[in-house]
Amino acid sequence: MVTPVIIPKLGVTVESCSIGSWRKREGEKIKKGDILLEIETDKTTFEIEAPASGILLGIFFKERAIVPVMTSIAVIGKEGEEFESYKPKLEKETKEHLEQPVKEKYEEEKEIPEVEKETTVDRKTVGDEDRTFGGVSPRAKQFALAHGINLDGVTGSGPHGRILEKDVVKYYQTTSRLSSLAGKLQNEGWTHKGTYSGIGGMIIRKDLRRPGKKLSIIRSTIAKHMHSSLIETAQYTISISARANDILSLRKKIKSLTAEHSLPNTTINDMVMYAVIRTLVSYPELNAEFIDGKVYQYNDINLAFACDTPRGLMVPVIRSAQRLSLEELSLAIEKLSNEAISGNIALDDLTGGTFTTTNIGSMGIEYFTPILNTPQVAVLGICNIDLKPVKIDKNVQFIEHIKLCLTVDHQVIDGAPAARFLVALKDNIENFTNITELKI
Amino acid sequence: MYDLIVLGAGPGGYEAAAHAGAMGKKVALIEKEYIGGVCLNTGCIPTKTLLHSAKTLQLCSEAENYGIKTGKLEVDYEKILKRKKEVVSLLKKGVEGKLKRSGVEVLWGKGQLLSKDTVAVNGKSYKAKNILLATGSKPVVPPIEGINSSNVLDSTTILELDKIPKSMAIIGAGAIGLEFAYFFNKMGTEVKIIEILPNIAYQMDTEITSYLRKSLENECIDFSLGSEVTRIDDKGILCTRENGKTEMIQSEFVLNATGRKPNLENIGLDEIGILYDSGGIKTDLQGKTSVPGIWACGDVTGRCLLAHVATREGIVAVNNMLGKRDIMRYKAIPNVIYTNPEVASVGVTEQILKQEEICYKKSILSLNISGRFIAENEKKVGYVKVLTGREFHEILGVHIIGGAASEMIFGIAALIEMEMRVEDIKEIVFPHPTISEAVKEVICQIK
Repeated sequence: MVTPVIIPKLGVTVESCSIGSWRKREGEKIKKGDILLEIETDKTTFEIEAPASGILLGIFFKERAIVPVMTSIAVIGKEGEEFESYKPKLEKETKEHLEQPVKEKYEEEKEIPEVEKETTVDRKTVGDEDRTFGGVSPRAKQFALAHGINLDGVTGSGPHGRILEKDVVKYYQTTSRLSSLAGKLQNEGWTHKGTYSGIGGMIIRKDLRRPGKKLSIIRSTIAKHMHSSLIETAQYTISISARANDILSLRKKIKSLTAEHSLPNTTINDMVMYAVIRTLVSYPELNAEFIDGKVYQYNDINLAFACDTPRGLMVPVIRSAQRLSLEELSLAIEKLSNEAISGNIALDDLTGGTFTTTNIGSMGIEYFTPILNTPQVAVLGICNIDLKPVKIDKNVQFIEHIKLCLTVDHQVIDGAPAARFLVALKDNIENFTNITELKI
Repeated sequence: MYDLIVLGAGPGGYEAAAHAGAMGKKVALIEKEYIGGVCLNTGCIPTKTLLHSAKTLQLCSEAENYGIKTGKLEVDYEKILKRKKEVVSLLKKGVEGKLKRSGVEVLWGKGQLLSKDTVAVNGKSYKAKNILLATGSKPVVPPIEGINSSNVLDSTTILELDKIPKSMAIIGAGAIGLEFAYFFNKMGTEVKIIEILPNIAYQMDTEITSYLRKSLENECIDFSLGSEVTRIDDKGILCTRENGKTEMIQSEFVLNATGRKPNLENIGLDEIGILYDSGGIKTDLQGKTSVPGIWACGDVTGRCLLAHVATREGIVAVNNMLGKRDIMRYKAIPNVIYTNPEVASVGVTEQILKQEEICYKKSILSLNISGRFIAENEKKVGYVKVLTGREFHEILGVHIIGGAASEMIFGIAALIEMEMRVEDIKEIVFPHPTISEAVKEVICQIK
């Protein structure tokens, strides 16, 4: 019996994902539960296990292919079993779509029609995998091969951007020569920096840069998100420092009691996040999103927190955080962090935040400007704890303070309300025992 | 108003002037002493003339190796010096003709900058859109007690000797010291070279220069390496070796060949505010100094004290001042020592690759692989060494000792400039039978 390997539904919002690296090859014998491949969504990566034992009869998608969820991507069965019917229709369509333009005939090709068939195959070896339309005329192809030209840089003037011989000739005559080494490197994907340092303006090795590394889907999502955050908002950052004796002494107590009383290991970060939740309850204008000119304030505080994982930055969300006690909050943070780090986090736990915190203070950072997690209107950066001189009566005492940086969107939140929130948060941290019911 | 005024008519200055003149520009060339500079008058050309006499003598004395019997060989030193003069004067006429054809006006006297666009010569001032400083270099006088004694010569005054000295101590085993050592040794002078560094010709590949040292030692040239001259007096030259031991060397003459330094004095650098230090005038790769409109090339920049580098730098500067983008590259500069055997090299040396931790591949081969070398070089040393990049096998440096190394080296400079790889060079046809075949062979050994 043939068993298809199907991409599972990964969450309510995920429609498609990218095929990552295949761990198994076609024809390989596999056991149920073996890891077949990794798939990537815009938020995380997943491992797909073999649903049955047998031979991996066919793989339908190569790495980096974008595939909708619930699509069969491979089949497992016995040697020789028929599996063509499991091939998703989608792939066939794509193939036809690719082949179609090449079948069209153009006048200038008539002289050497027999080469035409090979053109589609060879084209890829010249290094233009992304060219899906138009193709390359056989004569252009021959000229390129004879003159060692990489067709990636050539703009086609034929129908659908088809590269004609005259395009390649023009390219050859107008672009700078490459040194022997530079030519080889360009074919390996090195790109021109824009300088011409060799003899007569020849492009030499130092004028080229090594091939760059393509961003993973997660990373490029982060990149887009961060960039659009800066483009689309009017964000600014204010900062304050809060006396930390209260939370430090509580932390000390908890640490000494954790083992005996099986209490969760509540960290300084957890306490600050708890104070944030308690403060947000009184300042709902910061627990909001700004979308298409409209502000959405929420009663539920879905607190997102930035988490450094091997796959990059992830932002798990604690739902209805205002209902949680300090202990429950600690447990929730620990659980979600572990899941994010190990890659097992559910996609729904990565969406729907209404306010975000980010903490790089444990690494000693004294001040930073967190970037808004749009469409949220505020993000709190938690910094390190440092001694600060405080004048008490006539003396100066050094007291430990934690620094906090609040970034808000000035489109929605002015300086005064942002300041009021931050001052209230400071008060809550300084008088932490007043806001927690934790009894030790 | 001139388009260009050049200070100094050495190989940097006169070539640049002629180049600008040939492009239809109004050019003045200021020279205080002689057209052709040190190179033509007291450097490259006269020494190569002398060296050829020495090489001819050596060939004759070894003629028996090739089945030719000669009578007693005699040196006619007067004739050697006369020929040197004739060669220099012939070439000087050639340069003067070139300047004339290019329409360059020669102004005799010492030029001095008055402002960014004005130069004074003999109390008269001349204006120009661009000024090129090509004032060259002079021998370094190291701070050694007695260095100014009358028997201490430098590379210029040694050419004025009218008799062959009985003995000579040479301080410095660079190209100048080695070439004079070879020449006087062949003329019958007892020669000893004192070098402070542990290797001779330290800028060249030490593996190759060690063969040169052995070869010269076989000719009875004595080397004292890692040895510093501390005093020169009537009794001789006092040297201190690395281990602290001292040594007294007796000789009729002493040649100071410790190096050259840029001519920076009395040209008005400070007055105009041109950036420089004792190493030379600071320039960029186009030849620009820190003052717009003022350019510099050659030894006065201290970048690379070679005539051919000065010429190229001068032309690069002229091209840029006339609006043609050009840039100086130093990765394929040939370097030659005209002893017998001669040493020629281009590109980077192995010691530099090691020092800069660049990954490389290496191959070295005896020139005896070449039929022509064996036929023409009885009992002679010859090696060729190639260094390539490890990843892509592009040529980084080639170093040759023996044969007509200096005449082959330009071809390898081209290979480096074109960033040719071993795979490409395999496709080039080399003539047979030549010594150049060994060059191809050694390159093809890189795998």
